Amino acid sequence: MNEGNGGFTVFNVETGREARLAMEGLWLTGRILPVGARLLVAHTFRSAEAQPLEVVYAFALPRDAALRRFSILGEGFRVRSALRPVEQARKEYEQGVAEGHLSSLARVYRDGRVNLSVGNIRPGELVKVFLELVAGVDWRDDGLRFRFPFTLAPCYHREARAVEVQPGVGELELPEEEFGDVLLPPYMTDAAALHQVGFDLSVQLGNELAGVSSPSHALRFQLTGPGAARVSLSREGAVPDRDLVLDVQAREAAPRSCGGVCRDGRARFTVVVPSVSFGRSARATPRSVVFVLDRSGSMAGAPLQQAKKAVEACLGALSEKDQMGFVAFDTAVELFQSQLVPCTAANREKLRRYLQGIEAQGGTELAAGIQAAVQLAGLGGADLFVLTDGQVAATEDILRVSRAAGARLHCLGIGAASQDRFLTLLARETGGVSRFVTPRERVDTAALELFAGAGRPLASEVKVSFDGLAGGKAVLTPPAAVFEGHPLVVMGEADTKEGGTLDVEWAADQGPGRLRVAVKLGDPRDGETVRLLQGARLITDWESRLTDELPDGRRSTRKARDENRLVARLEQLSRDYGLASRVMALVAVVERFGDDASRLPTTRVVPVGMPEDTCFESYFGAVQPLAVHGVDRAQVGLAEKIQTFRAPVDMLDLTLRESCATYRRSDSAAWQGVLCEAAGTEDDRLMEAVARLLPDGGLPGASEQERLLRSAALLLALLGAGSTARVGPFRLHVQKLVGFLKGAAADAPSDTSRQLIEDLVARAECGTVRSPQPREWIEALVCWAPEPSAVAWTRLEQWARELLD
Amino acid sequence: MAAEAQTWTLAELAARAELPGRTIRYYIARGLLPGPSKAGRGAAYGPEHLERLRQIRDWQARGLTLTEIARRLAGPDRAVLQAEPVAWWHYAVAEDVTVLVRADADPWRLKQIKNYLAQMAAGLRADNEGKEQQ
Repeated sequence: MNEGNGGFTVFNVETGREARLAMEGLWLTGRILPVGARLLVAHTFRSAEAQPLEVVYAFALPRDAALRRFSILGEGFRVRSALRPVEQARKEYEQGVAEGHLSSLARVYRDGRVNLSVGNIRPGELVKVFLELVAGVDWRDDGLRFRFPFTLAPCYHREARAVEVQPGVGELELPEEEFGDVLLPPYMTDAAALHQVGFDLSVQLGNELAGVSSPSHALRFQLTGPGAARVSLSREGAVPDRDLVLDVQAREAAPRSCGGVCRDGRARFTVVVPSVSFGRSARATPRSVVFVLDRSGSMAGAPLQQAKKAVEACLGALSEKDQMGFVAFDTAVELFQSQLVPCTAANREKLRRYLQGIEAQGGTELAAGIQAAVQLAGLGGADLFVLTDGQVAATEDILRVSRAAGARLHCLGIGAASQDRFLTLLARETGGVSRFVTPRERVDTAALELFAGAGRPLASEVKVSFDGLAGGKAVLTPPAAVFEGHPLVVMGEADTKEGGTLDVEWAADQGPGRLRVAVKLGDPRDGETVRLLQGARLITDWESRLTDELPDGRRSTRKARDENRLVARLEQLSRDYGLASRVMALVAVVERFGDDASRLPTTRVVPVGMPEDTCFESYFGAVQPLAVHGVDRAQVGLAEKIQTFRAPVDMLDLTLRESCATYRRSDSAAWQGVLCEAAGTEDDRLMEAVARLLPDGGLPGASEQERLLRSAALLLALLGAGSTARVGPFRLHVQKLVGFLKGAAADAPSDTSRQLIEDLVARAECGTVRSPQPREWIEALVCWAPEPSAVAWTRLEQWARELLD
Repeated sequence: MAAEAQTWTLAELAARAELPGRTIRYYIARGLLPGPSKAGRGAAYGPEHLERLRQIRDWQARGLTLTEIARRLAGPDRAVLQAEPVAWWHYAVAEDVTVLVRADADPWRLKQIKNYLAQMAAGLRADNEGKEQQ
């Protein structure tokens, strides 16, 4: 960061003048460890106005995150924050502002929204606030996904007030009785003139690091050791219109641990055991599945299209013994059928047609959708798959409803600024698992991956014992079930300084299992970080139960008493771990020379960009979205601004041209990818093909011979795309195809074709495939529709030889 | 005389209105509330401030955003002189119908117009679908 100009100089792209931003930049630094991240966020504030300013920056906490402290750095001073009960912190802040001192308050509100307020920034003064926080990560078997919000998604709430205040600028206000005095930022469709964001992070994985990639930002990557790297933004700066997402990958899926001895003399550690350590799920039992699809306006465009395709592809993996249900919700809830139905070809076709009629519109009544799905699922222990962007407010209420419903929820979060924190909680608190994708990734593949992994747990009745660790115990009860692709995470503490082992026992289809995992202790700094991460996780879990803004101590209803207990519990956790929460805030007041109490600061809220690919109009536009004929509304946009109106122009052409320009402006190769994908890639072809699988596991055809040939070709294509019966997003479909081909192989027209089918089946069941094949090759195979003949089988055999040998 | 003496500091006004000081400062910055009647340490706020805060809360409860409230407070004579339009919103209501709307239209007005446009789009679409079915 260039200190000379305060880090950034921002120019307004239209006027070319230096922008007068109250907040000029946000710079994220810190360390990503195998078990979470310790972060330092630098906010640069400057008053370019003639009067003193009070600047409010609103942001969302990442998953399992908590604020630790901040320091304010100004001209000639540096002051650290203190942790205080919210009311006291607010009073100190107000007093400081009234007396003309530089005051700062970081306060957490519902849904993990934070307001960082800095009052009395003098004209021309530069103030930096360095905010320290710890944040959890999305664990994978072979690595992790890290997500940090650079923007704040707008959210749906029945009583929220939203309006477009100027073209392309939206304002959202939440009712004060429920949400307190939280201020939300103005949302700008054009984020180009806003503050700059950037990052420089070190990554330590413990295991050998295979690489770090990002679906959201262009990276500069530098390997600093076998398990360590440094990643930063490859360009000068980015704008706040999407989260930072980093995928950190290890070379192999092996247990990882991180920990150390803390200042209090006790060791803190977290161990991540990949799901592959628990074996493989052997038995395919009939499943009951209910899909819950968010069709609210904010899902418009690619997210909804891909989610619909994903549902179809998931159905392709089910057989007639399986039961299915489907719920779509926006402001209202809609059921496909009022009960679960067998997954027959006819029912699937009906659902497919039903899906075609689903368009994005309205609000996000997620709780109603979940309740309807739970009712539909009945007591049969169905799995609920929720596909949503989770852009809702009052998530604590939804969590309460979901916990009470007693069903297991698996969540797929979609969005450039998805409510990672909320959806993680929703899945975790109901015993399910979750995954997150940005709209520029393949939502359907991620949904299939989640669906394949979240069937029957690999291991249940998981128990962890700490006999190999002196004084060892769990800080949080580990989950009782492990699902494919989702590691078991154990957070604990012990009295040892040397480390030790912990034992995991579980029940599975193949019988009971047992595993001993080493707990390694390293740097005391790591121990302290792990301790903070454990605290942040505990605070997040408890906070998610606190529904009201802040309970009023005077009330004596049962609910109020429960909430008061919660508040006391949270306050204790905050004090124990030194972390802010809903009931404890961070505050600092700096008395400067010449502070002037006579001038009232002008309050400014820092604007953010609309999250990429979120339709502005779904929050701030027309009450009901307009249908634009023949063109996807989300791609063209509801309205295009025509800059000048001088000569007659062909309006529709102009609209299209402008929308193309909008695409180019976002200048990422990934976006181009999305556009091409609309035309169809090999993954689309595969997705469509597997959605056509009949309940017996084969593709349809005019004759049994044709079915056999086409099914064999599809299996080969799936193998070529990197999926087998064990790995890859299409593993459930491979299993089904294998079942079909085994049964039908006897009907093969010749010995060579029978041999080919057996080879393919053997390869799918146990073999590993080379890295994915060229896309043209797979596409050719999926689109191949020959008459079943000896020539066709010979051609398929040639293809197979190319792939398998 | 008694009414004249009724002046409060920001903290006192905040306590009376049961609103945080920051919210009141934010309203002042947004032009919803006049600033203090005298500057300085004992900056003065009076019953008119309290009354205005109550009014704002009332409007909020009826679904108005702060921007909309600010426009209401500014009064009707504000929007009389409209400048020459420089920018237009272009709404593709149907394949063969587009509607232009001033980009600097009042948000209130814009919301209203959009409602009518939605109705128009729905009507045209229903018409179209009817024809296709025939």
